[in-house]
Amino acid sequence: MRRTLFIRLFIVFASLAVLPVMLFTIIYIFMQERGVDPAGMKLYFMGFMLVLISCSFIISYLFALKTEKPLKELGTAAEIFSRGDFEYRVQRTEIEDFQRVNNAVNEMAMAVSLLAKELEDSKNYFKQLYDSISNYIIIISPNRSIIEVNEKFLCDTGLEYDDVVGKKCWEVIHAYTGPCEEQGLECHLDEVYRDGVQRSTTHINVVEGKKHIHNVIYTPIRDKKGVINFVIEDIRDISSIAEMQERIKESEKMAALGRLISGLSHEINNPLAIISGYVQFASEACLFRDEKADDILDKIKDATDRIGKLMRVLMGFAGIESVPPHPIPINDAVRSALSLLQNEAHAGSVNVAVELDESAPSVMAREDIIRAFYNIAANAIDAMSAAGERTLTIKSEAIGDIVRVAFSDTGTGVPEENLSRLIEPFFTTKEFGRLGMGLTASYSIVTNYGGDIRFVNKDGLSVIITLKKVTGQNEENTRSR
Amino acid sequence: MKKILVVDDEPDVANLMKLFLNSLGYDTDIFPSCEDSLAAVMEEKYWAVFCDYLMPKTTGDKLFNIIRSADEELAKRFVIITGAVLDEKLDVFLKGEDVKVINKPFKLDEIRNILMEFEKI
Repeated sequence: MRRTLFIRLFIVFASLAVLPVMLFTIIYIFMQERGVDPAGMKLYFMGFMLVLISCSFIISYLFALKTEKPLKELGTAAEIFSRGDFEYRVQRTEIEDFQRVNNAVNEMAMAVSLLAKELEDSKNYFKQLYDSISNYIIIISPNRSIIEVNEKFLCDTGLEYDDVVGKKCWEVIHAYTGPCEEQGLECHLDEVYRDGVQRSTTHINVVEGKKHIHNVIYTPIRDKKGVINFVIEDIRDISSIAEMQERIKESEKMAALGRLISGLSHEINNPLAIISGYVQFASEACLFRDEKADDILDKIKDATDRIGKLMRVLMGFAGIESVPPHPIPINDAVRSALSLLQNEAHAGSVNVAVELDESAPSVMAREDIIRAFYNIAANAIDAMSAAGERTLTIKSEAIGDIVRVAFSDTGTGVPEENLSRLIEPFFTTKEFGRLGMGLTASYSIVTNYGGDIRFVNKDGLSVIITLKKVTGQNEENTRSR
Repeated sequence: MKKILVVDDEPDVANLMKLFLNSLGYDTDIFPSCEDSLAAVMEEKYWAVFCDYLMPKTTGDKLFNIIRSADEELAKRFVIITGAVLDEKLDVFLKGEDVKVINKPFKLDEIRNILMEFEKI
């Protein structure tokens, strides 16, 4: 830098030396015209020029030496500012003019620094604002590129900022290879950009086998002229709300069903008690003393028993628990559940193979255990809808103090990592179809009676239920009630 | 002869009970409601009670409470007969009291077994 400065200054001073040359030439011509011989001046002139050039050289060098540092300092400051660091200040210099420039530059840097800080604070404020929102916030440009995303989305999806920002919305949000229209789906984003009206929709996504229900609100953001610059997509996971609603709906449905069946059973059980009681009395008292009449009485008794059992099954199915847990023959519970599913199995072309261990004892439960079996069997029938071979095998066996019932289907099974999640509410292996509450309800019922449910992949899915068999003490207690 | 009180708003059920209990050697009074049976409960010395749970205007647990305050021994031989109605009060009542329950339709053997147990008290 010093060299460049020196050369420039020297050229300037050397150029100034032209002025004495011109002055000397004018004097020389003037003296010649007056008849004075200026030959002696030539030597003086040459010497003068030499002195002048030497002075120029020395002055240029000294000036360059003195101005180099402040100029260099200004250059350094400019470079630092260009990197965005406006906290740097140009150092003081002894040269007054340079110091004025330095002061101006420093003032400018301070002003810019304040503005940059305000801008940064403002940026941080908005980032903190939407990062603290528990919904997913995605800002999308008119060409459907994501221009901003909040921390919650990145955290839950495990994606990096650069994996999302700059990418197309359909690519990141739906994992599509092209726009939604190409998938045959309508794009609400386009509609919002077109008419500027806020929209809301619900998406059901299956993530790692679990259904997530998302409510999506598309809000247009306009500039002062009313032009929509971008759309904010506010995605809220409403699975837990939907689960609660589903549970409420389910319990309301069951309560209504319970009231209906309860009223119905009261009206049926009374006349049934009369028929059944009188038949038993007639039979015990040998009122007719006739073999045929006894046979008829037995048939009436059997029929009333069947109706009585059916009423108890219906009440148990409806979750009516006014009756305390009592011994229920496990095989009877399985048969009752299957009898309710006959039509469904037939419609789904499912063969039902029943291999019940007739020595299997009773378990301590209410009739809602039938509903638990019903849900598991219904789920198995559903799981085989796309299978070639469709067989539902139900086995029961008594092992020591426990009773084991296994429902095995010939469907595609469930990935090992998802087996333990089958009892989670809304967990499903299908994108569409049942909501995934059946096995949750079954698990709740079985564990309520001290039992357990295991899931095993074996040529399909096997659901193995274990329940404690009724002990003599339990049986005695129940009988005494 | 031991006397049994049967309260049921269904006359045919009550008559069946009377018929059966008489055949077992018990003297039986039948009433269609708790209110009607109250005077008899105060006047007569009953040995056991079979009472329907859900009856017009009242429920069997109310009769149980009256009997328990009047005759604790009789309260030990109190049986609720129910058409298995959905009733939270019945659920609470059964959990809180040592009362035997018979569900309709019932087996006569169930009544016989309960009476045998009562004989041991």
